[in-house]
Amino acid sequence: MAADDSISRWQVDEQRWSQWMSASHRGDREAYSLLLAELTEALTVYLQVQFGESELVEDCVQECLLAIHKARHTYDPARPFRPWMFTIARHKTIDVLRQSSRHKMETGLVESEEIDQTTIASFQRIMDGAKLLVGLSDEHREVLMLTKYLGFTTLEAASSLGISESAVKARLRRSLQAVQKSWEEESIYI
Amino acid sequence: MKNERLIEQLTDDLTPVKVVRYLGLTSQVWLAMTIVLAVLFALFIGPFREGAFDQLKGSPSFMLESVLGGLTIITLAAFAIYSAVPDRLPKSPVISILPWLLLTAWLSCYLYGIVEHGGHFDSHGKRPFCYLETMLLAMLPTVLGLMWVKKRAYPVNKTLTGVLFGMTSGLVAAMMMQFACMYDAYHALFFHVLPGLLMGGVGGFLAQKML
Repeated sequence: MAADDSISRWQVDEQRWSQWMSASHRGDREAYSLLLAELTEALTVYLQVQFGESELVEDCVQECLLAIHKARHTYDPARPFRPWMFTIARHKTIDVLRQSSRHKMETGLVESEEIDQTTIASFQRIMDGAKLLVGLSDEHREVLMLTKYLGFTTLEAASSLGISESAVKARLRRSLQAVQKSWEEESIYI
Repeated sequence: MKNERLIEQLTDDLTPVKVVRYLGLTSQVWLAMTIVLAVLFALFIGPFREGAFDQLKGSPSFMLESVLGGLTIITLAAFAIYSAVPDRLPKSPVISILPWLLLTAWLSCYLYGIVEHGGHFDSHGKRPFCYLETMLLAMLPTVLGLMWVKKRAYPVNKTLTGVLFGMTSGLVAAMMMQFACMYDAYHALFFHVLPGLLMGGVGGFLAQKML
């Protein structure tokens, strides 16, 4: 029954978002505003499930909304909305992860010297709940945590891990590829 | 709060847009234009090889290479256009690998020809700078294709889209050289097809700069 309810809600959302996007093609600002508000919520939930609670999620959501805005003319109303939206969102999120250098933590920008084992452990707990990161190897999760969550540069991460900077960059590249591959295998039912 | 401000800005920025449709037709139009440009440019430089089109009837291997090459190009052109629109690349594993299977089969024909001929070839119709011609012929269609992408599409993977446009244009030029230049398996593979494939790299680079 619960599964049936989820699927019905999914179908209702799908129809509503598709209609609102079609309306926005004609310049309907009210429909567009409603659509973006709901997509913000949907994307936030989705990314929080994947990455845990983090300001990283807010940055990714904003970039996804911008990308959806720029790409809106490529949505064909005769086709499903969610796969189109999540294709954009997933690629944009990977782009954000690739390009982000320092991230603000919830309490403000933290200098790397202030990050001690306690902070790292508390972030580890956040990441333990993050679905996507659970699927990664220890090496990949570690380097993503240090650079994307804690804002380490690759040099700082290398020093912290006791490996070379090029090894950090290689692990980071592979970790993002693993995230992308995992997403591609995931079906888009929420 | 930041999200609400962003939504407000995006809504204020909203203008009517024309939806991108008929991707299959677009790919065939772009491909036709690429072929016409390649032929015109090649004719401008020099005539086609004498008897080239008769070889289609007389040489089964030539016919097979031409058919496989044509099919590869048609599927790659479709993939190039579809890659430029989110969620439009085929998801079926069989269809996804189709262009690469066809390309492999096409290249295998040349490899077989190299082994079969054992170094003997006929240089009738040889064009001295065919490899350069191949690459130059492919440039304009690649750029025009990427200009369409910039104006009308939104590729989620710009490099992939650029590679597909470059490769398709390059292989059209290579296929045209099959008729314009000397016909020999080794020469075709290394002086036509390989430069054509290298245009994929050029296309990927151009896509990063243009898109």
